[in-house]
Amino acid sequence: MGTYSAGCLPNLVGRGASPSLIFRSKQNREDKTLNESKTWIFAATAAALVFVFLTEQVQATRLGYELGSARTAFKSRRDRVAYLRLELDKLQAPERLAHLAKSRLGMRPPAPESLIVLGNNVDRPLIIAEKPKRIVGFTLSRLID
Amino acid sequence: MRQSSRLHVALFLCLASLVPISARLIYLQTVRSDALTARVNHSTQRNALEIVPRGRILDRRGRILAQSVPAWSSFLDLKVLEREPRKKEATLKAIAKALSLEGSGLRKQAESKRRTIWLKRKMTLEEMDRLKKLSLPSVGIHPDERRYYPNEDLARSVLGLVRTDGGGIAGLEYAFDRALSGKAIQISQTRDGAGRSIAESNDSKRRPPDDLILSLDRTVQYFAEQALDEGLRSAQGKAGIAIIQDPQTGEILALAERPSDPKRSAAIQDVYEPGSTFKIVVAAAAIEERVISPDELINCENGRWEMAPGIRIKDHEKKSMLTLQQIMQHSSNIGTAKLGLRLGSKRFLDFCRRFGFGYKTGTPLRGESAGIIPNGAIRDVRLANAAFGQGVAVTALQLVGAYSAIANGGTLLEPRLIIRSHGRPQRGRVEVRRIAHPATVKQLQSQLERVVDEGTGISAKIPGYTTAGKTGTAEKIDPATGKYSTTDYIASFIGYLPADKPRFTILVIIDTPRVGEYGSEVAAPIFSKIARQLLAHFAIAPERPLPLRWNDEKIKDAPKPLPASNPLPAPSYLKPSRSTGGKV
Repeated sequence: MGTYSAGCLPNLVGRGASPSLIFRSKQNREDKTLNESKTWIFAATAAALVFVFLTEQVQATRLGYELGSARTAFKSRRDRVAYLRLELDKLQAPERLAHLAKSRLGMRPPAPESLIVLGNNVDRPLIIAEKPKRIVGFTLSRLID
Repeated sequence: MRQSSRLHVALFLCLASLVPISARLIYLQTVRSDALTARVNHSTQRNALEIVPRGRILDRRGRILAQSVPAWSSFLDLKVLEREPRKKEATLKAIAKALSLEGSGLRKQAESKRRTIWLKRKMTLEEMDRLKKLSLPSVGIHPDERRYYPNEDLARSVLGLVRTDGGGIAGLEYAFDRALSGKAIQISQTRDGAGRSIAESNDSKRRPPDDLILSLDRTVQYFAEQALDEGLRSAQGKAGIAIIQDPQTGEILALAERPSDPKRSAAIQDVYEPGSTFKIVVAAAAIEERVISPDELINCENGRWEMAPGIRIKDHEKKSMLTLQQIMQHSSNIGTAKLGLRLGSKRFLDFCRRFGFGYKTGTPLRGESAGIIPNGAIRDVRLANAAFGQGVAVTALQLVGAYSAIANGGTLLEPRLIIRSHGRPQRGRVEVRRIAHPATVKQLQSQLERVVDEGTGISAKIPGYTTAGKTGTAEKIDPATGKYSTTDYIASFIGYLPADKPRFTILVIIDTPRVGEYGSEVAAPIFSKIARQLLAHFAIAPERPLPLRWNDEKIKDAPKPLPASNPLPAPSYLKPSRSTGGKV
């Protein structure tokens, strides 16, 4: 129930309105204002939600595009790495190295008696590769050569 | 009309116009829902298979022996090509240039009535890049993979072969096909109207295949293959095998075969008559079973013995009375045959099996042979022949295993070819059995050392190192006559070094040499070459001091070894000072 200022009553009463009607009319007007405000708040919230939803969709699509292009770039680079790794091993093939050492540098394999072994290496174990490192679904072993 | 009524009419008209729209919406959302969803999915969703490359095969130091790399196969859509007949000739020309194809051949193919034709299978990255740059609507690219062996023929008989579709068909590629195969990963993609990917999901549970790590060492394999090639060239042999094993662990460090055939491994699948290298079995049995004492002399009949009417056994050296040590040293067939007869077939065959002959070694390579060793008792003539390695057949891998057992003090080991597979390390040293008492093995070792020091294997000798080994020259059966050939032999040498602490067991076999026929002439020098390279590569110090050489010229005499009691002289700066007389 609202409160009314005493100054308002004499005017309405003077026009022949009963005091109870006067109260109802005032209440209706205030309720209408409140309803309008609620509608506006609801509309604004809905609009904001739609905006957020649409922004999210746009962002998701944009990120999807970025992810797609990054994935393509990754695959392309991964393929290139595989090729380069292979190329490296081809270049390090013992047959090729021996040929280059002989033909270009005039080298030849040393005889065991040409070597001076510093320290006792007789017990040196044959090297065994460490567990290959796995990188994003593909394996790359440590380069030892 | 009152204002409120007019408003009601306007509202009704507005709503009435929405009714058919709503009805259509409901119809599309309910009745046509499935069909429309399928249509949208068809245009935006793509299910693709991403090829996961086949697992790699690496050597013991992680160097690549076999690797699959992405490759691409390209095809031409003839229907799309025909849409623009004026551009057809230019398109074909551009494709031929990009893929290094013959223009005329491509034009002929393009006349085909099929919808599509393959342009090039398994293109390289460069070819694919060139083709992509052309941006031709009639050309399609299909992802594929290509198996590379970067060292070409190196160890190919062990590595094996794969089919065009990537499946293994021989060697380790076949034996470990399931572990190496790359299963395709299914990818669901959402694409926009331009075909660009918006979202992608894949079966992340599927792991790419694990690498297969072998016990082979690429460098050691190269030494073996190179020496075998040179040896075969100089001996003009038909075929050859060289195997290097670590006698302490059973690991195979190299397995070289010539001619190299990726479809089969002669060292594992083929058997041959080992000849004199098999005499070690008789020697071991004779010592262990005490059928001969170390000083006892055996009459070797001056190199010619008629053991039965019409059955003659010959030696290449005319010797009369020899001890067991000398029988091995001079590789006397007569002496060994007589020892075999003393042993009897039961004990002889029992020792053959103790050394692993007649059984598969357990290598993962398929098609392994167990060799040919008689099952039951055998008659004297066959026993005498078998004693010096004729009439029995073994695989090269079995023979290496037997000599490695002598080298490591008497334990027969399973040959190890795989260090790591299925993502986990494989079994290490696997002991099969003891071949003989340690004292017997010691005597065998000493006999094999004498063979290289003073006997038939002298050409395998390496200055500064003690080497043990045995030569072998086996007669081959002539398929035309069914009898032993007088011209075709299998020359072999097997040994290990350094004899006091063996690191390598090396077997060299040359089939049908035409320049030289004995194992000592043909195979022992190849053994020596491989051994020298291994000693230098692994920096194994000589057991005895050697004169220092440079380019085969002696530049300094060997340092005299210090007596054991004489301590090393202290460096001058460590000598006690006269003034202080202090001690260091």
